[in-house]
Amino acid sequence: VTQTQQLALALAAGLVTYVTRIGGFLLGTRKVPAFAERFLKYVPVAAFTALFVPGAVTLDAQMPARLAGAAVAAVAVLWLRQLWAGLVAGMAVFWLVAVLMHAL
Amino acid sequence: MRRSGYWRDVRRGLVAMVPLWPGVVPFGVAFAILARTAGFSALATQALSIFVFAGASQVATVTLYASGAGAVGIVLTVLLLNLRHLLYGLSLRPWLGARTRPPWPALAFLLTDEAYGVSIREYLDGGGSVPFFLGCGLSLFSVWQLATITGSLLGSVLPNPKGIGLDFIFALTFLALLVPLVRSWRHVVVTAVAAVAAFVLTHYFAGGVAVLLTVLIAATLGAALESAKTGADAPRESGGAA
Repeated sequence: VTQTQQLALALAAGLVTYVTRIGGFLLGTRKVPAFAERFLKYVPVAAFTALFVPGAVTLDAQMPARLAGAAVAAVAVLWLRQLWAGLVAGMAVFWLVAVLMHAL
Repeated sequence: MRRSGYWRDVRRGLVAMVPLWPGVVPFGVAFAILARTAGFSALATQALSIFVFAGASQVATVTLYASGAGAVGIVLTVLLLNLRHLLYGLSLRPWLGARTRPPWPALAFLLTDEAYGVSIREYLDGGGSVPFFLGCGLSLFSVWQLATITGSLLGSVLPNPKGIGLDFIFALTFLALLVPLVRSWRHVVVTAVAAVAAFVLTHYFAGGVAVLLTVLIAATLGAALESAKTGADAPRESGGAA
């Protein structure tokens, strides 16, 4: 039952994604309102922040370790320009600080 | 000439995406590990990569699913995250021509950030074509599926993820996606407002709804700030920044 729900979720997510993909083709040469275009430009920044924050600002014993890991991950991504560099550096620092603070 | 060069252009498209693979593969592997960590079956994980074929919204789907968000909130978040495809489609459509082989509704399935970026550059440089775009899309799609399978296999041998704090990778993934996008003071303001909004809203709403409301608030603010800037020498629009 769980897998059926997950497959249905994947299909629904795929369907709305396809609508966004074909939508631009269907609109053809029509112009998007300037404000809508600006709004779309800021959607990724806003969404990624919203998806990041609850996993970092946890208000528990692990929070210092999570914030330290996040800070190092941000620097690693800026420096090396690679997503995996941020994940590896961030997890390493998170685990180190969490173990030292007995928070794991 | 175009006809005889069809498969050569497909191959050019396939090859043109190869430099992007090192960036895409780790993301696909990371997504699949996250999905397995979140409790997705290997089949459902693969289904996401096949049907959605968009990294950030796939990670968002499994992140929100793991946090117990409802299906409607998740699907609407995916919709918001993917609305940018509209702009790519609008921009690419005139280049493709009236009739395409395969038909453009099939081509649309392969429209991604990467395929759009490489194809539009090729069109502007004079070498673009429908088969080139097809090659770009197929290149990315195949690599994405292989990366997902690899991650699924890795994810199924990992120990109890929650116990060792592996769930933190969800947050780090989005941070790593966010950081390169923050390029102006307006992005900093939008990020700060989104952070506060997300923190407050997650205490009152399910994950998917909190993300949606945060995006509506913060992206509207960003658009208003930009309108205020460009509005200095143009007629003022309604909905001021302050």
